[in-house]
Amino acid sequence: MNRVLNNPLESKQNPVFKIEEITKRFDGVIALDQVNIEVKPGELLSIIGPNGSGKTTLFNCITGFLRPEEGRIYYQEKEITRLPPDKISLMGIGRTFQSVSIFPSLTVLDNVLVSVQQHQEENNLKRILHTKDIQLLEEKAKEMAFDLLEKVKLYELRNELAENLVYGQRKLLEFICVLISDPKVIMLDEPAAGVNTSMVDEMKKFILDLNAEGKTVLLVEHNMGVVMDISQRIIVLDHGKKIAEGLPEEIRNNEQVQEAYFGT
Amino acid sequence: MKQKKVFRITLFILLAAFLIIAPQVFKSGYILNALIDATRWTVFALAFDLIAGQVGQVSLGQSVFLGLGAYMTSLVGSRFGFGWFGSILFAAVTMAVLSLFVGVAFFRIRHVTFAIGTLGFAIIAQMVVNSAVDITGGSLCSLGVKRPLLSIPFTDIALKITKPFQYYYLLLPVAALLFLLIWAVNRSRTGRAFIAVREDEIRAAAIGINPLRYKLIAFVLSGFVIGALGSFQAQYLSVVCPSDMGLEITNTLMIMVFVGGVGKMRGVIIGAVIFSVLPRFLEVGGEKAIAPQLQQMVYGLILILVTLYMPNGLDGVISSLEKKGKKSKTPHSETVL
Repeated sequence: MNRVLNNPLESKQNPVFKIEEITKRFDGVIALDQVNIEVKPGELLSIIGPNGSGKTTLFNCITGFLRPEEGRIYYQEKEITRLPPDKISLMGIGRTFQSVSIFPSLTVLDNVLVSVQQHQEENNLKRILHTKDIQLLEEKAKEMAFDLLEKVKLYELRNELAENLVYGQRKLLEFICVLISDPKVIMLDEPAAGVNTSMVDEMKKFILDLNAEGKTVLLVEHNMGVVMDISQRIIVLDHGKKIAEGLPEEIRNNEQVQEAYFGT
Repeated sequence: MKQKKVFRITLFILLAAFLIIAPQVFKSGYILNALIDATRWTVFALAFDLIAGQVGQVSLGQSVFLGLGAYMTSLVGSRFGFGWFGSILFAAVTMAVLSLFVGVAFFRIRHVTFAIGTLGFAIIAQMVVNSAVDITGGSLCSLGVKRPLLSIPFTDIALKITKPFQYYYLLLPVAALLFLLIWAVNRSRTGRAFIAVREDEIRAAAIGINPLRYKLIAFVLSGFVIGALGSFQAQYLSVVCPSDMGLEITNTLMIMVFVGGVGKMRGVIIGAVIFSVLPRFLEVGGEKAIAPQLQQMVYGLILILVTLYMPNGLDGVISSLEKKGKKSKTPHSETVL
């Protein structure tokens, strides 16, 4: 693939994420065991592993939903290990959830708008007084929302309640809710799970486009076709440990990885 | 969409006009008191809904802010000569501050436990007020709240408010302001963040909303509004009793909000009007036709039936009727050959 020509993996820039020796335990079960990861700016990195290997736990530790017992996490050289999730989000780290999450009783449009408002401002007095600058920001947010809704073909459904959407549409809605705040890092938890093949292709294209725009993408995914196809680099977790790291072809031929997956 | 907006504005103007001229039409104190009650309860229920409906945390302790707001006026405002509006403002602000402390303490626990925690707070607060006889008068109530004096600008005349229609005109602007406040919050970005927190706290945090902060904002606003209402009540009834912050108040709020439609302003208003006016129709010649205990039992039964069979309350029923109306209006003839 010629995308690799301008290879972010050889970038000399400081890493976006530097994850140092993090360990997370749940009631004695070790979900993450002294994991070290560096994420380079602009790369498309996938994290794979069998069920229960700690992929989603890793996502939750990075985004502040879980606090690791040991280790530190740095984002652009700044430690974020103990920051609350809303602060981390506002630093430009957007994510989706494995179980698709939207706000069912808000309209499709409001779902998108509420996802960007905190990034624009948080002045509750002005909001309640409905001042001119809030109105302008809201107009701006609407314009961006309309563009994204068009892109995923949800524009016609913008005034429907989100609970009336089917699964695939919800997934797309959640996806554009991440995009609207223009995050620097996008973390996607199983974007291809449970959707039909044509939508998988669509998702792949969206992700590649984002990466081409210069966004750092972290992907947790079970669909190996997708992972091997679009990742620049892959990290494999098993029982909370990092067992392999490398280019897709290296991972494909790695015996330890095959063992973890097939137990051979 | 536009038609709907015109309809809404017309309805709003008609309602406002009705509320303003009502005392000229209905001279009877009975009806005016009913109007005062309906107005008070509507704002009260909307303030309760900010917490229970918008941000999704059922607080069973909101009656405390009504009662303490009233005591603030009888014990402080009235004695230090704060004036009627000053007393209302004082009660509102002190209750907002108290809400902040209570909120910080109780929002650490979640959902069901939050309801139980605030219930405990209400029971303890009422017990304290009941036993602090030296200060509050205990179960003998705190008497002698000053009647509001309304000084007319540019004159030396001060009008003493004693008649129901005078109280009504005092309440109307205060209630309108509080109503506007709640309405402005609910339609703002802040209100949208409330709903996000209600529906999914984790996702809300993932898009930069601090759930605790928004719960506190809702709680403090609710306390502010309810404190103001408590102060008005003290000046209207000129007596404050521990029962003014009792659990029966919370029961009534629950039935108004959940039967009307939790989280929906239209529904809450309908519920509040029905359940503040209805009990008056059950009175015969000033005597209650049914015992208050029986009334609470009937309320309880209605609440159970509504949560089982009408989870969206009357508002949900109206919404589904509206939808049906829309569908039947769309022409079918084209599809039938």
